[in-house]
Amino acid sequence: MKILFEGDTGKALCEHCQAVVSMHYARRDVPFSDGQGAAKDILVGVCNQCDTVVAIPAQSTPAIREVRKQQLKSIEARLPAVYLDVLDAAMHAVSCEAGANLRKLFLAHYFQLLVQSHQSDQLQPVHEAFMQSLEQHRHQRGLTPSSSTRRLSMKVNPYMAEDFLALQQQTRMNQTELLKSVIARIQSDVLEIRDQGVIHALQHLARLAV
Amino acid sequence: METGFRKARRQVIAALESGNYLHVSRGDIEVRNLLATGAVSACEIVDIIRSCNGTHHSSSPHHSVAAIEVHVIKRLGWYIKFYFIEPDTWFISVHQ
Repeated sequence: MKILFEGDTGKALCEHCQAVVSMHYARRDVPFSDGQGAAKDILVGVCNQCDTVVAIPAQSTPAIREVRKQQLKSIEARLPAVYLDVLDAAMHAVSCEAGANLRKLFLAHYFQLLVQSHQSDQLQPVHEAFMQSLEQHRHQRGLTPSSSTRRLSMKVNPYMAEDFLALQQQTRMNQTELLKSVIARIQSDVLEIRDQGVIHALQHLARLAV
Repeated sequence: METGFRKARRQVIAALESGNYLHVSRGDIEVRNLLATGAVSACEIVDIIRSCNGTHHSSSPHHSVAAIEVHVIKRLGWYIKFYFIEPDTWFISVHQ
């Protein structure tokens, strides 16, 4: 690998200038495209004409990866209260001993399952169906949407963080949307479809954990 | 001049194996580019590209600089988009 230094130069296609331009390498703080933080002081290529960051060399990837992993030592979100009710209800349906303490385990299982089986693209339609169903129930009973929220906060290990990150990258969802979608999927599998394979796997997990 | 599949494959694999490649940026780090964020290794991408033939490859002129040929490889659920500005190899996207 050719190691690049600040002050090195090169050519790049600048999307802002819409042309091939000269660039120089410099250290910059560069934000992530999903709006979640930035990699600070990494070496990048900068357009000499418009000063936009146009290049990220391979040598900056380890620093970027480290920042992404650090961001995910904890997963926190404030969700509409009904989502946590549904998650807890699904866990209780699997095992009467599975309570809020096992939320992290169930979610970790699903993050891994979704990443390994390449099913992240199914999350959005499942979530949309879930939201429609909630809306339908409210409408039928003449209820207005609730603004109640509850906080979900989990300290996670590197494996769970990695799976969560992979799902975020695949779906381009933010943490809150992704958690809501995964909960909708758990609701669908456990409470709607009653998938026996999934339920047995979750029962096995719950038995190991309680 | 158009770069055929074999030449493009040879060049991109050489870049990945040597570590001499760049990622396109529009002022930020594209989180969907899993190679840029380190969620996938260069070796894994080399394995995917090695398993390709011409049917997995397409190319077209870049939307703003037509002289630059943009290569797309679709294989095993992966989408790998890159171009060359001599002497460098540039990845626009590497995602699943």
